[in-house]
Amino acid sequence: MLEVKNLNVSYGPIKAVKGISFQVNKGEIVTIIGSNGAGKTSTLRSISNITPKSGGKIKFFDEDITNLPSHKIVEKGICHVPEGRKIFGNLTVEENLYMGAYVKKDQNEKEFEENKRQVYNLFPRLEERKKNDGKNLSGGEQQMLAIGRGLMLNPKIMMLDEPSLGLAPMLVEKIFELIERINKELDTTFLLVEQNAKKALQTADRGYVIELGKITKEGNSEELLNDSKLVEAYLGV
Amino acid sequence: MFWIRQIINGITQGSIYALMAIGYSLIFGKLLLVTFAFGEMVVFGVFVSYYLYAIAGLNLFLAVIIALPISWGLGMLVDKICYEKFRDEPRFLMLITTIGFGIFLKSFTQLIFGTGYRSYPNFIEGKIIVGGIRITYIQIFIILTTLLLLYGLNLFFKKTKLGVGIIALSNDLDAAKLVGINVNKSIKFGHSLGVVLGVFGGMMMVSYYNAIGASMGPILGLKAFTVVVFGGITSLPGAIIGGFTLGILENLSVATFGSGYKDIVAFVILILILVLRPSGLLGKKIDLF
Ligand SMILES: Nc1ncnc2c1ncn2[C@@H]1O[C@H](COP(=O)(O)OP(=O)(O)O)[C@@H](O)[C@H]1O
Ligand SMILES: [Mg+2]
Repeated sequence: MLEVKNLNVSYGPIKAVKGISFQVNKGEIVTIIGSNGAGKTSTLRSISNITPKSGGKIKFFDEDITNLPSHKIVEKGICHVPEGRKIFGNLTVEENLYMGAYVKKDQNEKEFEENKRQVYNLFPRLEERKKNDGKNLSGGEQQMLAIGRGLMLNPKIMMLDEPSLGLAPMLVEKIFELIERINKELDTTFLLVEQNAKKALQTADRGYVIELGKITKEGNSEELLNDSKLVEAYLGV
Repeated sequence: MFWIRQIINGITQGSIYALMAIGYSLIFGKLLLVTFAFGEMVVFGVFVSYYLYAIAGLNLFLAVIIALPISWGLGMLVDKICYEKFRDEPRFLMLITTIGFGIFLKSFTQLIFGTGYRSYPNFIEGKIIVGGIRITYIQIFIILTTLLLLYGLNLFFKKTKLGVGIIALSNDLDAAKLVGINVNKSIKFGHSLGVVLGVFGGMMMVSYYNAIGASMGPILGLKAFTVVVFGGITSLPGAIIGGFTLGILENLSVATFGSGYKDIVAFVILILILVLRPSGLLGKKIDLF
């Protein structure tokens, strides 16, 4: 459903992404793993068009979305949960969820309430804190809120940028479990960008390895987890 | 009696400052559009209404009602020229573009409307005496209109998608884009709204003091800036509190020291706040540059 072809991203003279291509099929969890500075965030940001591309083509369900403005891309059902969560700190949990449904023009109260219920069922902790300002949540709660806010869109695909970053191991475990659950229960497709290669590959169906802005390996998760070179480089064994 | 009267004058003046400051705070504090053309835009908009009234001969209210959408258009134009291309650039660029545009607009206003002061009519004539205190209708008009507008703005920012979107984008621009807010459109709208609020405040001011001059821009801009710094640049309630505070203090100082000292109050406040509490009464820290 999402097809990226020969994507390039530059910051002035710095080439951050150098012609990468990959695709995500409906219902899959696909991960892009790579170390810090490899170009993962630039890739997602340029798909969402909040960072300009210097070349390449993005297709979503056979429609060319390369040059659509960011809000139109969201309207297509592409949800991007950015690195560092970026929740609205001055808004409450509930208001953040309301913002997540911003583009749902004809959504009535009932649908909104249903979606909210769904999010609260996945993340009971958010319901307990619904009147709290975003900035007063813990890192884990903020990550849940960022994903919850994204779910309010009923997205076709969710692109998550390092959801495990800065979380305690137990919470990391929980976030990945929830990703699998959302994928199964809500039939949401995932593009998961991670440094935590092992966890990401254990969750994903397929993976790509990105190094210095280039994709150097791809395969299904089993294969990649059993790749001895990769294990040495990323999986810290 | 004398002091009560001064306070009523102060509240009237404060209403005007509050409106202008909300406009300024919206532009500078919420949208983070650095502006040095605010006062000039206000004066231009007010002059348009003066022109329609005094030279084209329209009814004053009609003149005002036509001048407001023209001011809205001016807001759009300034966004196009001074901001749109530079959204992702360092903010000092906006400082330069708006200083430049401000100079242009001031000269343009002088060219069309002349350099001298003109007399601007009262929106409403007459007065009532309540318990021995004289209150003019224009004072009542200004205070009531301001309260009504503040109420409407509060609803706008709490209940409408566009309003909530502006608050959200001021909170986190990337996040706003990623929930699907059309950031460019929202910024344009917010900027024009800010300009129109400023112009409307300016119209009430010149109607209250009966005088308008093309060179009033910078001092108006500085007053709005002071009020907003006092209340906290990012805080709209702060702008309201700041507006009323400055209005009342100015009038009390005029009553005490004479009118020659009026403008000093604002700048003493500005300096004290910048030294003692740079984030203002209700504001939070922002990194503008
Ligand atoms: N805004 C920016 N300006 C300049 N260079 C950037 C910017 N953002 C990222 N980079 C550079 O681009 C490269 C890729 O960064 P990024 O996409 O954030 O990688 P990752 O998310 O994999 O850590 C890095 O070398 C980084 O320093
Ligand atoms: Mg990153």
